[in-house]
Amino acid sequence: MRRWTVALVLFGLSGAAGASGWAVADSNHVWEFPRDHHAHPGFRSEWWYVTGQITAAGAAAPTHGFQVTIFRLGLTPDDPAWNSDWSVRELVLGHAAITDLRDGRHLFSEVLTRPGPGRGGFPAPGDSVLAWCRAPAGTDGTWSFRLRGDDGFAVTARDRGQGLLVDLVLEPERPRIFQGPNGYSAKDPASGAGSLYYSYTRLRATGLVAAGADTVRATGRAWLDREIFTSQLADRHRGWDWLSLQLADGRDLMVFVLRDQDQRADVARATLVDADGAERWLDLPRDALQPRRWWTSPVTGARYPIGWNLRVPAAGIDLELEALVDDQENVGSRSGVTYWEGAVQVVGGGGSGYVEMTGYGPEGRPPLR
Amino acid sequence: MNPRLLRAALAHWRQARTLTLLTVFGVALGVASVVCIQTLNQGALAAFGGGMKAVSGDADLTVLGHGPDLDENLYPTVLAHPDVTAAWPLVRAWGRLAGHEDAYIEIVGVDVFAPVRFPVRLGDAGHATGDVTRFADLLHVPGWVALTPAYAEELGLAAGDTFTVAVADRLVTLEVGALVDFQRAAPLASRKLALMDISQAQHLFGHRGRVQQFDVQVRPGVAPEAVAAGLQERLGPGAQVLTPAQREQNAAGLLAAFRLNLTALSLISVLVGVFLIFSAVHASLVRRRREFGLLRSLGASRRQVLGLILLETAVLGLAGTALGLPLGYAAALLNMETVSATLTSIYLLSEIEQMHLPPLLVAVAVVVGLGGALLGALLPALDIARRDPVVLLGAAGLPERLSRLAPRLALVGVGVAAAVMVWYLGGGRAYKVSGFVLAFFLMVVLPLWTPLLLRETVGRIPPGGFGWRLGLRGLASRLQSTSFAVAALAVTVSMLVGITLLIGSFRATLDTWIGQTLVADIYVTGASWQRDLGQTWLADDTVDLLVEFDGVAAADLQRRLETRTDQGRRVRVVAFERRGDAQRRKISRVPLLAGDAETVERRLLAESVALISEPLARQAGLDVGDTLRLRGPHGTTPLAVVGIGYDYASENGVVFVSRATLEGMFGPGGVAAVALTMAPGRDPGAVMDALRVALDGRAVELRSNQRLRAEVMDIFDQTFAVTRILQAMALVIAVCGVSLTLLIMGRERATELALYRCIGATRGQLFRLGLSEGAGLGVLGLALGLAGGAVLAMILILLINRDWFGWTIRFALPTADLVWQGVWILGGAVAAAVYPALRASRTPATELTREDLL
Repeated sequence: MRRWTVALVLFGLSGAAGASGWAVADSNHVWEFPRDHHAHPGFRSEWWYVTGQITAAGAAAPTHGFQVTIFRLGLTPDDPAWNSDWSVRELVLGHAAITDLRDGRHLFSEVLTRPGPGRGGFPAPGDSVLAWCRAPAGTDGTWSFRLRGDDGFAVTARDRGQGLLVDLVLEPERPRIFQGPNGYSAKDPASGAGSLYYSYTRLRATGLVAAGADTVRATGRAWLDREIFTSQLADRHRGWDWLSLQLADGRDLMVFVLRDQDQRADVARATLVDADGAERWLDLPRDALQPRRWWTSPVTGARYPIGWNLRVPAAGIDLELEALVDDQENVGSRSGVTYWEGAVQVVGGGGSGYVEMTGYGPEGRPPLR
Repeated sequence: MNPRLLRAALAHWRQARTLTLLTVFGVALGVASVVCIQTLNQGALAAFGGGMKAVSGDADLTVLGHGPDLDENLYPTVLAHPDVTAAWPLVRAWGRLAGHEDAYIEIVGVDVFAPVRFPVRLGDAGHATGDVTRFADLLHVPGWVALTPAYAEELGLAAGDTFTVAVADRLVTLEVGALVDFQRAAPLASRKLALMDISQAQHLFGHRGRVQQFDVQVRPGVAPEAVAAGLQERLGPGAQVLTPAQREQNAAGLLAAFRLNLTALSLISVLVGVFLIFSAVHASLVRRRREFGLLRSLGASRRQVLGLILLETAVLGLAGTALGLPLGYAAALLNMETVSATLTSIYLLSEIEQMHLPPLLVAVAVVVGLGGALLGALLPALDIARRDPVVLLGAAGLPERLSRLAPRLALVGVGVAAAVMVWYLGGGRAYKVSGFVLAFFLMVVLPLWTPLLLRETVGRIPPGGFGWRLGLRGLASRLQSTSFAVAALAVTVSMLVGITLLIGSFRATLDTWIGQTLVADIYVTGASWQRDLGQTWLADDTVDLLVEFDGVAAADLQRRLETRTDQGRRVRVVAFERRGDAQRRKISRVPLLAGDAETVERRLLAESVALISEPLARQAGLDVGDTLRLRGPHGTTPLAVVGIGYDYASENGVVFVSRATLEGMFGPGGVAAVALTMAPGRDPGAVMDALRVALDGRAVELRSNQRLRAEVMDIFDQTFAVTRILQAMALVIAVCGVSLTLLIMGRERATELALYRCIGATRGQLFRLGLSEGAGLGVLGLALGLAGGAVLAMILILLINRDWFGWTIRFALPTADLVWQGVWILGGAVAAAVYPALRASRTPATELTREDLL
């Protein structure tokens, strides 16, 4: 019951419910904020995803990398008609990670629960809370993404057992951008796979973090992604590499590469945001991202690239990326979801960011459609 | 030990097959009764433990409510404890299978997305069939359940089939979504288990926001007890946090009295078995008297002879144990259903479906069998070993020493009785087991008085003619043999009479009580009512329909649940609400032991006070005016005790309150049972027929007053059914004893009988002599047993019942039962005498030897 739960939820449903009944992402979505910050129950899945690097008070360079994600995982498009707060059409999955960049320690915590009173949920527009879940067993309180004022966010995640804490206020330094025409990010035009996708590529993060015993006040820079979809990957896809970079020259860059079953790059796209906040959507050559260095997880046996060469010819970008810490693998013991999500930097001081890599483990494709 | 001696023993066993078999039989019966009762006792607990393991798996702690359920909003509080690594909620309910009389299935609702390892792994391939990975089905398909393959097959169901269960007054259709072998994880668990998603389980069988329990996993290396204390503090008084051991202890405590009674009965069987062994060993030694005389005169020491006899007996004892073990286990299996029915109908515990013979019990059986055999053989063996070889080799019977000893033994008996009484009155009565101690010593004292009784009764019969007088006098002249037969019979009869008096008195008391309390005309409950303690209830519109039905003048509505007092005592809380015509109401009045009926009734309906049952009052030491404190979801509520009422429904205590009072303590909840009183001139039968039509489609059960009374008495009889087996066993043992005694007497008196033949006695006369001896043994045993039984009944009713149950039981004489038992025993004794009498009558005159005539 442990390792396959979410995997089955996300894979196994296709037989019973398929995509039928769910809304399908396309470029005709009518955006309205702050409504669209809230959940979209018509779609199967969505997430609130923040990553960033942050500097403890008094330190010269970033001391921590952090990630907080709340996933909404749809189970069934129709509400089961049972008179019970356990009657649900979706699950809440919370992931939180913090990396101490000084000693290389990487902590990860996971919550998987049915929504409901005291457990978690996705409040309707009008509520300042966008998505929340209870803290993991052994910890009191909740994890949440919240709206703060007109155009700001707050994020909280804590795991007392591990000494993990992320409690930050996020203030946009740049306006929201779409990751595709009218916010539609096509992943595989042939099958119609794609998502509604917008981001805040530069947020000022202020608050408290802890990776172990000590809680420190810190400030830094964060990236917030919102992605809403019913079908995200084509059947032939095994996983993806995704990266978010805040470059020293003021530009922000998102790159994703979808890999096929043989781990070959199949689709590669990028979004480039200029210093003035204007976004451009770019097709990339399949070899845009080239691994240079690899690391094998002692826990899962998965072999991840942790150093890359990145080329975006249309933007004149050609740089080297390095993971700040090798082991930034997230092993979801409750959900069975395993991936590498970690802080990286551009070699030579050209910028910093986060990389996410899925589908490298023996378990194959990540349990997301 | 000389191997030749062993060979001699073997030869002897072959020759005296009857005696050998009887010894083995005596051991076997004693062992069997112990094994049977202990297997059932342990089976009852194992069934509870198995059920717990099947549902809770390896959970370290369980959080339960006070009452039928608890608030699911406590879940985050449970999870937030620093040493809790996982927790998951469970919804549990009993459903009754439609179309199957008295077949129940437990429905367990689990959060299939809870990130924990359930003992039941739905997703494990191999022992699951059906596509259990289709989670949408599990959430969506109405009534999706997983069943054990064994039970599905029993019901003739395959994956995809549907079946119907009744819960309260609702009929629910379930679909077999998957077949999963839950018993793999817990072999002693019930196979009658259905697993479903918690959302559906709550919708179909429970109540929104309420769950039955949270199971909790604790961080490795942390003591669950410590976490339990911390959790208890966080959760407050509305919940209780228990370790698996505590939950088993609670079940064991619930059954303590029931189990102890059975154990005591089985020990009495052992005692009777020892008598049988004694008689058999005695008989065989008498037979081999000359053999031992010869051994002694050839140089064998007393110790060697004693050793030989005890060794032989030990071998027979082991053989008896080997026979008794399977016999007892088979008897347990035969009685499993009856005991199981008691467990479920009285104690609302899981039924026993499977039993194992615990290894420890095998050891106990060996100790009982071997010990019993050696104990039975010790006295006769010592007697033979001590005798002078010349006496042993002599032709005449052994001189009786018991006759001389009789007054002294009786005195010892008086001494023992006095000592026990002094102990009891001087403080022993404070112990809960003191009643059993008295009963045990009664069984010890009776045999001690037997020789004197025999000597002073039949021994004083004036001689006269060659008839029954001679036979009866003969009993007194052979005290060594006859005392034991009479004592064995007396102990058995005491037990029989004592228990018959207890059951008869109890039954009569219950009958009177039912007559006073069950006075309404029609009783209505939901179909699964028997297994339910306040978790489900009749739909409101069903209750309204009943109350307002044409012909119904008044109604008593009953809600019930179970909780604990602040002392931790488990009690049943019954709440009444009265509706309809106050004048016409024949309410179920609880007969009062203390308190004024009108005051009690008035205060009970108007105030937050309680009427408590007699056992609760006695066990908790509560009187009218005292305060009873009951635990509930909102903490402890004090209730003034306004009356104490007779109640025989629960040995653990019942608290009667008004429905409003219960609602104040436990929140809203519906009615489990409705008692209807007819308007004047209305025929209950006709109204019942009309009700059946009106209630079509609802799973309600209508019982006439008469039928409910009969059902209550049936449950009563079923509870005591298992004691009848033990009584029968004891009777068989005692009758064997009579037969053996007469055989011994026949052999010892061969010379005497031969002389009778010489002087002209016919075979018929000798046969009648034998029969009259048998009848004499029977009558004496019966008389002594009646006296002992009367005392035992008093101990059972006044002491043991008071200490363990606390009911008022009025003495009643179940005359018919007693007469029948007397006839059986006398008949048995006479029948047991037929074979020995036949043998004796065939004694040839040639048995008379020259020495005898000198």
